[in-house]
Amino acid sequence: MDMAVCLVAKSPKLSSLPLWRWRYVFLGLALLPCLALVYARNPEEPGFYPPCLFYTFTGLHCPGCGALRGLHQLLNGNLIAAFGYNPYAMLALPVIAFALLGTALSSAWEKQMPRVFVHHLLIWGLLAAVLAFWVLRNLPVYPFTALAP
Amino acid sequence: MAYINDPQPIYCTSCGREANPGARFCINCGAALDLLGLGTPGYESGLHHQGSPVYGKLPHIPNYLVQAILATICCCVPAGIVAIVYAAQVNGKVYVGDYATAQRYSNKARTWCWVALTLGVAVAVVGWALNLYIGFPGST
Repeated sequence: MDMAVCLVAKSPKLSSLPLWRWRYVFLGLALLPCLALVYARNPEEPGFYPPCLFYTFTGLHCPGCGALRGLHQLLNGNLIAAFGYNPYAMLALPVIAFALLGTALSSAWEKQMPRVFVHHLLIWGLLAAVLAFWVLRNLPVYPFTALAP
Repeated sequence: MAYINDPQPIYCTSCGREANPGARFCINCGAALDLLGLGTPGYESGLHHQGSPVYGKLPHIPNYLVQAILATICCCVPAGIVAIVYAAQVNGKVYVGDYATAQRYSNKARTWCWVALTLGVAVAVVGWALNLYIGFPGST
């Protein structure tokens, strides 16, 4: 039997807490005030959110750069501006939301959600796309500057 | 061989108690259940896996792809990239029926997601603290 699986199985019985199966529902609820904050405060105004260390020290845009500013725009209804800041994060958002919702519902009501099996070539393609996005959005040449936040 | 979705009962290999349908751990002794039948004779010869893989019948081995994507956006990009690599390998091995190797890659993917989260939180705290004391302009 795998060591890690055994450790998880025999660790203290957090899972015996009565509200344990609602943990993902609570996680989702805890995200709401965070979203309200991102809705209310624009990351473009300096001094409120902590700065990105990677950008500060390298001057490079990572694949996640602009995600917070994009989320702020999205929550304020500006879909096009949101995609302008970070198209990758905006495309990933529905997937993340679907996964959290599915996990929360299946653990809270102990019903199995239908599982989506993603073909491995699709995941390799995603990896290539993310790496390409990382490189291209840092190129200071015209069509690629649109990918920068 | 028992798939997760199969109706026939699964018994704990540690204490022998019958497991509840869908359970991953024994409710009696807490041991991880042998959902994949890795301990049953004939596993290595592929007897458990006759016919082509049918998606509905695939045992569920988590690949933590969503967590890995999340890591490349807001935690720690390099660790998230590593986790995506392992996620792809999990599904690649599940697809050809090599569940033992898939489970090993799954554990590695989970580890790297935790590495990403830990590093991401650590870097965010350091950045926040540095910003308080030095106050450099930066973008989020």
